[in-house]
Amino acid sequence: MLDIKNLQFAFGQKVIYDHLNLTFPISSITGLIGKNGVGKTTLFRILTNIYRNQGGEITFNGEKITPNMISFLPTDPFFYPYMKGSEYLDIVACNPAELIQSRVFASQLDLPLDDLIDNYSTGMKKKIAFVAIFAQSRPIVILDEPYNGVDLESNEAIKYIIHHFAKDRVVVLSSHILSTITDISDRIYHIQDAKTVTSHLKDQFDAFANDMKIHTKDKFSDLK
Amino acid sequence: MVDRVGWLLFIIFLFVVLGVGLQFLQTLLKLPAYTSILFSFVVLAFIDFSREDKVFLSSVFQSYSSLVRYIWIENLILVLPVIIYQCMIKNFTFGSGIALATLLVSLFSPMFRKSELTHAKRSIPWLPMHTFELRFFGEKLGFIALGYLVFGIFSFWHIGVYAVWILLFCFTLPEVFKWNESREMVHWLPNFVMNKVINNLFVIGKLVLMPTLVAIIFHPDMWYFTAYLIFCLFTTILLSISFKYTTFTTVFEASIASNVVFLMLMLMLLPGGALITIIYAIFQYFKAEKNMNLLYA
Repeated sequence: MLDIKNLQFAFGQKVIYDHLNLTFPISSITGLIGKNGVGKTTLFRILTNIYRNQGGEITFNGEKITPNMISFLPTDPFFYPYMKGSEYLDIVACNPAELIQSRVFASQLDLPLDDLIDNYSTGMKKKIAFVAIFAQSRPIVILDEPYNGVDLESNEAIKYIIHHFAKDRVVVLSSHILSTITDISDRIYHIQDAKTVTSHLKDQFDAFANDMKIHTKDKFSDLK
Repeated sequence: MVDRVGWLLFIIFLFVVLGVGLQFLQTLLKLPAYTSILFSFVVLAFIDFSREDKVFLSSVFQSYSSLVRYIWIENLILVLPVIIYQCMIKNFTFGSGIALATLLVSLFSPMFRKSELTHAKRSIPWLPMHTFELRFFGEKLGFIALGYLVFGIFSFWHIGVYAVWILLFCFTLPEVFKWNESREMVHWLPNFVMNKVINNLFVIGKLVLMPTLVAIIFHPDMWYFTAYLIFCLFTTILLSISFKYTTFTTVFEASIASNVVFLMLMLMLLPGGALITIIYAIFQYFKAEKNMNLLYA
């Protein structure tokens, strides 16, 4: 279980997290939603030590978390220049089993591995980054908006892969499209501000989605 | 755009360094003056082939002659330190020769465009994948890289050829190690940066072995000079890799350190300057290990 206790983080005077507590169970998929700028990506960057934790404790199965436990798909993945898809997977794989796994995923997602990644479209880049992440056998997987720029068919394939590989891992994903999260997640955390996070389990998703719709409708009720 | 400006700065630095450095070497090694023309031509052709803005330029300057004129003016500005030096020592013939070399490069320039985005890439399978920076850079340059490696053998002709060859290698290495790999490409283990330096030392050592042996065999009296150049090369490897991982982040794709690295490399052209550079490189090495520990340990 990935456990975040009393997390504190601020950019100067702007407080992002004030004693935040979150729990991500193993073998489950947790969706993270919230407004732009509320700190979803910041949380991911704290977990991966890109930003230093300013207070609180982050543990995995009772032990202090290390970045090496985490696979992280950023919103805009970047790649080393002049590298083919197949070369990327060769470098990323830690052992032959991971390499075979990644090749299988790549063919399922229709990736042209003999082409330069520089020539890939945005969606294809996202897909190959996704393939590399799930081929590695790290226990925590963080996906920051994994569906951005990906075609409809691959969207479904990605959902399937996430579901299949969440069996023995902690998977955390963020998205701005509610349905992509509710389709796949076992739990949703809705980050509202530095202190307030609401949790919704699978059987509460429909009610939550309705609440969101009503809230938005009320907000724009004066528009015709 | 910033990247292009950085590349331009690199070229200007290179030429200022080469303009001063080559003349220094020429005086030191008693090279014939006409070698300035040859060196200027080779270096200009090398850089011209690596330019990535030719497709853009040809869309701006649609006629062949206007494009050549533009490139010629750029090339002239770049070799100006060398031309001015030749004129100062009253070598007007060689000054004009260098100017003509720039014209020759400019005339052929529009015919050679980079095409890596449309063609399948040529692989260099004999370069190991764990030194992927070196391998991908070599693959990108293609025949230029091969030509460059072969050029090193000509050190039997004059030790100055070897000096230019190694210095070009040194000034290219920061560009080789400029880009950050993505987070998943790093297989972190304790002493990650040291292992990376050793791996690259081993591979680059093999690449420079033959020209170095030729230089030592044909110019045994210059062994101390050859040793200093090899020391400069190894210092550059340590500095380039250390600086890459000092500033390494999984958020930005390019290192921000290249200008500082170039200044430190220029120091090496001063007698004994490599000692200052290596002390700086060792300092950066410890910072790099610390940064990687924070990101991965």
